[in-house]
Amino acid sequence: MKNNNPILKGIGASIGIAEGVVKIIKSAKDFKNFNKGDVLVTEITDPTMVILMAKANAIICNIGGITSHPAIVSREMGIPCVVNTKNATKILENGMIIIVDGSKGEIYLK
Amino acid sequence: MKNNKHLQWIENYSKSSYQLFEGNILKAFAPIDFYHFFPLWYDLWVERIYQAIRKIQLKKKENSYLIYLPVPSAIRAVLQKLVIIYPKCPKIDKEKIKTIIDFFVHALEEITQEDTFSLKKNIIHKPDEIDDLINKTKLHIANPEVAREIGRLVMGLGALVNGLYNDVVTDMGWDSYGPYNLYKKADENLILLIRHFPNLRPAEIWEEEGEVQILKHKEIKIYTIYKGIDCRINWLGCHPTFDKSLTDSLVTYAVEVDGRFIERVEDLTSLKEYYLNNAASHYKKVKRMKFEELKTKALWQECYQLNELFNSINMDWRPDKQMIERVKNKRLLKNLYPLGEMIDYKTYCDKFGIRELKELYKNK
Repeated sequence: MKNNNPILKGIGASIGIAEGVVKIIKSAKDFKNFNKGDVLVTEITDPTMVILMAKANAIICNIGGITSHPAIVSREMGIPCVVNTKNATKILENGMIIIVDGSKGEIYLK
Repeated sequence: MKNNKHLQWIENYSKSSYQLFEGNILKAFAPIDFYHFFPLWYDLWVERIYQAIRKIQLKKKENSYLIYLPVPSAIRAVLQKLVIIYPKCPKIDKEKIKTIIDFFVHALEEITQEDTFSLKKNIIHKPDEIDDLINKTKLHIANPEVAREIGRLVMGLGALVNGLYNDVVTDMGWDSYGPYNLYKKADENLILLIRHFPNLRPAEIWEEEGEVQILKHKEIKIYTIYKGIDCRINWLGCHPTFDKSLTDSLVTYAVEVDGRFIERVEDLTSLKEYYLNNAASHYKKVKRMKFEELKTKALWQECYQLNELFNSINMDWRPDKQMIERVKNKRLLKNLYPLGEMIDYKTYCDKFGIRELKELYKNK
């Protein structure tokens, strides 16, 4: 991973490194496609997504900061989280396998 | 001398409270843009709080009313909103806002044992109270899977209170106390963190929602002891940060539900499922609410923060007709605060009331 350049950067909001399949969540219609171990990618999480978040390996959001909803809950669950990536929902695609570094706030293609 | 004293607490307040906005944007707050909503009616709210405080001060028993205030992080949230919003409300009398600010700062000084504005900690227990608590609490040995379940339970509870109270009143339903160092106890780097959900059933602000009234529990406390981890509580208790994974660091835990301790991991899992499902279903309702409903709800949620204080002096905490009229069919204000950009410390001081706060206390 160290030899690769990150494909996306943001603010590391919850430490740890995890990998998984990208699942972009734009509305409740996308919830059914989410599997245990996926990486939740969305504009900003809200409490309707908690059941997905409980299954996620990592969380990535377009906006938010270290005190935002995804950051707080990721830290509690001990999973990596990167916020304020600006355009994760555009750059990442469903099905991509990625590595999320929540300490550095970086996302790599596997 | 007096002036220096005020400058010192304002400095401490500024540094600590900035942590809510550091690396954040206002646009991320939900479900409405609160900071362009509050100035529509906050002068009326300030007047109500002022009347309540004067009533208390006339009784000359200010400290006896501390028990009717919400948890310390909620007091900080109330204080911060007042500081941020009042410069945008020309009708607010400066002496009145000063009386209110003094009241809440004094309350925080009385309630906390150190670090009044929670720059790094939220300490409300004395050392002997912690000793007593540790001795009386039946702590269970943790493992990584239990730690994850605790994390998911906290997420479910936190998400529920976030929906019940909104993004800027969440602290009314969620505080964390600590970290309390337990070095002396075990000669190890152990800390105790207490997560407190004091009111999971605020039926008064969701009267039309039967499901809130029948939520199973009122209060949950989660006691967790971690090893070898640095924990900080930055301004608000729902924002703890950690330098290592909680999953690997949790040593022991206890979960207290309405005064009763959970004994089995299976019960912890059921509790987690219950709150994850309720949090999701409640927030679906919030997302379906129309703009007018959201404004009214935010009004109720804001006033509810001081419901016990108002009740204790026989004052009605609920929004009155005038407040409701002020927001009804009104658009939100514009351009008072930066919505979509990162807020640095200078911007925070310039645009979020710190400059005006210093001015307010300049000659006191």
